[in-house]
Amino acid sequence: MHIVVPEAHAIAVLILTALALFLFTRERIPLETTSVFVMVALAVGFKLFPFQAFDGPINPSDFFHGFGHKALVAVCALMICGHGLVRTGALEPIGRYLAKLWRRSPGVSLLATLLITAAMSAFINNTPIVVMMLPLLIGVAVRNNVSPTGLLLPMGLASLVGGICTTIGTSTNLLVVSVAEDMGVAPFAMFDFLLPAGVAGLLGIVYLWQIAPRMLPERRPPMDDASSRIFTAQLVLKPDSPLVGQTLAAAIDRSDGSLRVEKIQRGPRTFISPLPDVVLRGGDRISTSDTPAQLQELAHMLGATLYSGHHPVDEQHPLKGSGEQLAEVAVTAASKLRGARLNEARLKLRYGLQFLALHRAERESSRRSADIDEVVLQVGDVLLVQASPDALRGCKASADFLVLDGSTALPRTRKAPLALGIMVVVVGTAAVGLLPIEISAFAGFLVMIASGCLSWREATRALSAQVILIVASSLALGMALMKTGGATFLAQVFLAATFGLPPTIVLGGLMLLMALLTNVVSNNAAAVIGTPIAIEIAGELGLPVEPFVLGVLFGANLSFATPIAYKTNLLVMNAGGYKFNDFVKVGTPLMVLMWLALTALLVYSYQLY
Amino acid sequence: MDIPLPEAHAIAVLVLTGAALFLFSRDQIPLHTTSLFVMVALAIGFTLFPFQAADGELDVADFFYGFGHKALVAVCALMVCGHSLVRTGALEPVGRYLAKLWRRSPAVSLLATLLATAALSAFINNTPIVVMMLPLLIGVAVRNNTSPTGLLLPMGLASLVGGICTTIGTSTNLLVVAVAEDMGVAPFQMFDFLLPAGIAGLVAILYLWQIAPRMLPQRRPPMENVASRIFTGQLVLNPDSPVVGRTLAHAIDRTEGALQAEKIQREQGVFVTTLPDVVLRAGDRITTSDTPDQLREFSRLLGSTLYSGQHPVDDEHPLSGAGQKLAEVAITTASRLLGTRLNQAQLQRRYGIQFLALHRAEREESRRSRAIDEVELQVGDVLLVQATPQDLLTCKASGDFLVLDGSTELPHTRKAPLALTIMVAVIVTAAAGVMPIAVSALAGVMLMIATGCLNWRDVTGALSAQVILIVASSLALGMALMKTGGAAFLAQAFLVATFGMPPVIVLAGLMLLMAMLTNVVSNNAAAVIGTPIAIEIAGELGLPVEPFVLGVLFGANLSFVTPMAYQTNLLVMNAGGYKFNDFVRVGLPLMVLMWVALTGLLVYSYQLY
Repeated sequence: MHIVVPEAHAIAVLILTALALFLFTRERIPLETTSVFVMVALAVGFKLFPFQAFDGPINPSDFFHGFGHKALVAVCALMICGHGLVRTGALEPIGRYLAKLWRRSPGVSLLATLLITAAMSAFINNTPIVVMMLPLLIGVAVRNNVSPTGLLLPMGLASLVGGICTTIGTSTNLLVVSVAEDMGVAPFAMFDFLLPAGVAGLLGIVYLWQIAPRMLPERRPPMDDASSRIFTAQLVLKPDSPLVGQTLAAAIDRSDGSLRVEKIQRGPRTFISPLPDVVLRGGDRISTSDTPAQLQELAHMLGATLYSGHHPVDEQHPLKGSGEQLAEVAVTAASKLRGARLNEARLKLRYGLQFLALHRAERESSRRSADIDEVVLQVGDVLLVQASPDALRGCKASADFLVLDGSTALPRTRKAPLALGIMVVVVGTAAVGLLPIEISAFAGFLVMIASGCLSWREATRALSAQVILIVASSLALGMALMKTGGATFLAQVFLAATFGLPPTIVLGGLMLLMALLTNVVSNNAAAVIGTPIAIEIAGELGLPVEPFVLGVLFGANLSFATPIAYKTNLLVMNAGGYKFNDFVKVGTPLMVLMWLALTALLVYSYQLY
Repeated sequence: MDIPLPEAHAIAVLVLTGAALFLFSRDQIPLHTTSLFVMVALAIGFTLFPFQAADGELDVADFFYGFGHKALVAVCALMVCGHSLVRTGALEPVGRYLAKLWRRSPAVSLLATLLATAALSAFINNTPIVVMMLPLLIGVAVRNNTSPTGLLLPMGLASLVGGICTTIGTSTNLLVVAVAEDMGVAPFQMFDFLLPAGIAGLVAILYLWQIAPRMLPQRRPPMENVASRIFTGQLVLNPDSPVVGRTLAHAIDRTEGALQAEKIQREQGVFVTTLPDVVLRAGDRITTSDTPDQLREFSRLLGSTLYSGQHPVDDEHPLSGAGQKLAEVAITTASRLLGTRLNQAQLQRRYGIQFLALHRAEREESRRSRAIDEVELQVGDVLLVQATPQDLLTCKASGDFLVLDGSTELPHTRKAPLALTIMVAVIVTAAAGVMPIAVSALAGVMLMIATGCLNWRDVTGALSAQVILIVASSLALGMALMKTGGAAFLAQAFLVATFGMPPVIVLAGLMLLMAMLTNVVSNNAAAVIGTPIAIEIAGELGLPVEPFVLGVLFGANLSFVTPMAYQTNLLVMNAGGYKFNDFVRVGLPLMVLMWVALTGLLVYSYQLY
């Protein structure tokens, strides 16, 4: 088979595509920046070197049309509607029901959890579902005194499996379907591929239920080590302390400046201002807060006894954190703290949280120190904090954090049934074909706002600049590939590589290629670029287009094998303390399983044998 | 002349247009909610009742193309670039130079300020310029001990006048030019209408310089009343005080719960914990913070002497606010506090500022009270706050507030020259026609990000959901009007009304209609709807299209008359303490002046006589 070498524009676009895919894999470069770069490169390139496509010249401003593409509108509107469900607590009954089930029969509860997660993910954006499920499952694990390791990762992957089943399950599905429609493929209805995806999904869930938990080693939850917890204690000076008769300044010097005096008590209810020149007497109680090790060290250096309240510290009377509790909080995708430095975050002032340590997967958890203050917070970072229950409740309400303390409290407002009703109508009208999904979701957005389920601030926060820019730039790149003939060239290369092989192998190869791409670069980019190639391949082979488009769609959704492949994977990894390899170990068999099952089902349903 | 009645779709769109314009003028309904409603109504309407346009069936997904329209991309990218000039302090030298000039020769300084404001506004989004100029001019007024009334409003209007001069001066200009280009009008170059707009603008600036300041009454700056300022005082209990020998709880009861004891000092360096059951003694010093009136009331109720530090409060020793000063801070368009309630804003905790009163034009300023806590903060709200100088500096740096304390300090960073260079390059490449403005501005955004002048958080902060939705929905409405023939109907109706009159009158009438619309509804909506109508009118009359398009462009920019007409008007009104009528008094003559001048110049340059 002969491959036509494409002309200069197509070569340039192919190089840009490769560069973009490479940049998407770099963790240090924000995905947003790469996306803008792609758009600018396309617009500037095609302005300076105009290109005559068969249907007229490509206008540089055409590359911006992705921002107004109905698929992107649908993705954003559905993200906002999903956020409305979270903010009103409309999913709370499901969480409550699952929590009850876990208490009664843990045996089937995991299966129920996986099925429910998958079923909800088929209609709602995955992130809010995973965010709801994480604390629920951690709570279950804490109550049953087991490690949550065997629960969190299967749940996270179940949400991805569920997302494959309908046209609106993930943004990738919406994109593939509408790009195919743009290219003249008959539009897919919402449940058109429910059968293959559902059957394969059930297999996947059985694997996640029975096999996956056994493959996972017992990971310790990210930080159950309380050695750095901060306690408040009183140092009572012994009569023979070297500091009796000396000033407070001398005491601070003696501790190498680490003593931070909060108050000094001299008799019942008589307090002395902690001025540096105060002269200390035997029996003075100096209040200070620090880690236990440091407190012991201070007591030793100052010749003092460590008291916690009225009792010397011993086995019966341990140090107390004054009603405060330790908690792990994860930074969510909608958090205001995203991108803020720890020292700018002012956790104490804003939220009443005492920061103890930061846990980010791929590196050791770091304790408070000078340079950690400079760390920029990212989605999925887990902070170990100490706070009063009230402050934690405030955090839960603030949506800046996901509190991983095992409680199942979710916000609940009177609007919850309304929000749920709106979502059902949105999905229902789209499912029966009354309105296209982008219009019904957009209308749902309006009704959510008008009925007060969501404020404008929350709506704008639900959107992600990253998703919008990736989708818009992928659409621009896809269009450039298609119009310049780059997609045809790639299809021909693929066909040359699979020349003479039966269609089953071609389809299986295409899906595998997509699955590999999606685990390294953005799913949406992979999907938008893959769809026109799939259509070209089907055309060249004279086979029906649908199975190949679905091959791309399914392949681009198999983002199981790496934590960076999907946003919820990151959340799960950090909350569960998983390692990169855990994802590979559990995700790769799942990917292979789903790949084989989906290929077989597609070949069978479209009779490609 | 006989007007054919348009068909049902056109009538429906006309009704929707009327409803949208009405809703845009309602203050209670957010502009973006109306925009959302318009898009949903169009999309659902045209799905349920498909329309056969001249060039095939109207695709409903086209209504979302406004989001990807190059004009909107350009508007957003320019907003982001302008924001980065503010964040890097690139405009600071201009402010510094003007401040120096004001000290030397106030006479010409107002003219220089107006010219500089107008010149900058011709290329940069108005809001950052007005935000920079406001504190500068207030500072000038404070130093010269005059009222800033004669300075702020002329400056604000000068920025609007300057925005008319180039295709990129305001979002309205970008939209009109892009919509006209879409309809086949030869594209305008950046300086194509500089001549008429510049000449009319100079006339306007003379008016703003010499006449406008005399027309304005001396308005008091919003809140110079310090009656509610908070002071810290010590209540020293007299020996005959009724609370001597009673508990603190009893003392608090006596003040009806209003007393908030911060600390109780019993002798030098000895402090008593403020527990409710502490028994008070004569000579105890209770420290508390409150308004002077309230402090005096406490001292009377508790039989104590009011001390400020070591001295009883008298004329020589007034109450001191402990290094704190009063300041007025305005909420800017990029503030994170926008839309939050006062009680959620946590001003004390986040910024260390003590809220005293809220000033919003059109209503009496409200003191702290329960109801005011529920007020949602809006752009231009001025808060009277009390804070230390350091905290005010933090506020300035945070970008959430505009501190109206008369200082000219702006953040200035090493990146400032870089940001300025990028902005200049963006404008020059667009002006020279090398790149369309949408492409060059987006490239500018990418460079700003890549060079660290701006981070992604700033980018999303600079964008406004309101502007994006208004523009996108106006474009959708404009398209519907055009395709259904609604625009043609409106043009014919306009021509019937002006039948038999010379083109001068038709043009002037069109511009006046636009000017009136723009002062009541959104400029962008008026402009996008007006442009196709102008093109139809020119076509019917057999006259060149350009003067009519420019008539719409100019008219839609004459938003001088009401404070709601433009976002910067609101900022100016609240910062300067102006009344609604001040805008009418100064803005109406300016509008008429510009209208006559621009009509004359257009008629002359296109020889329409």
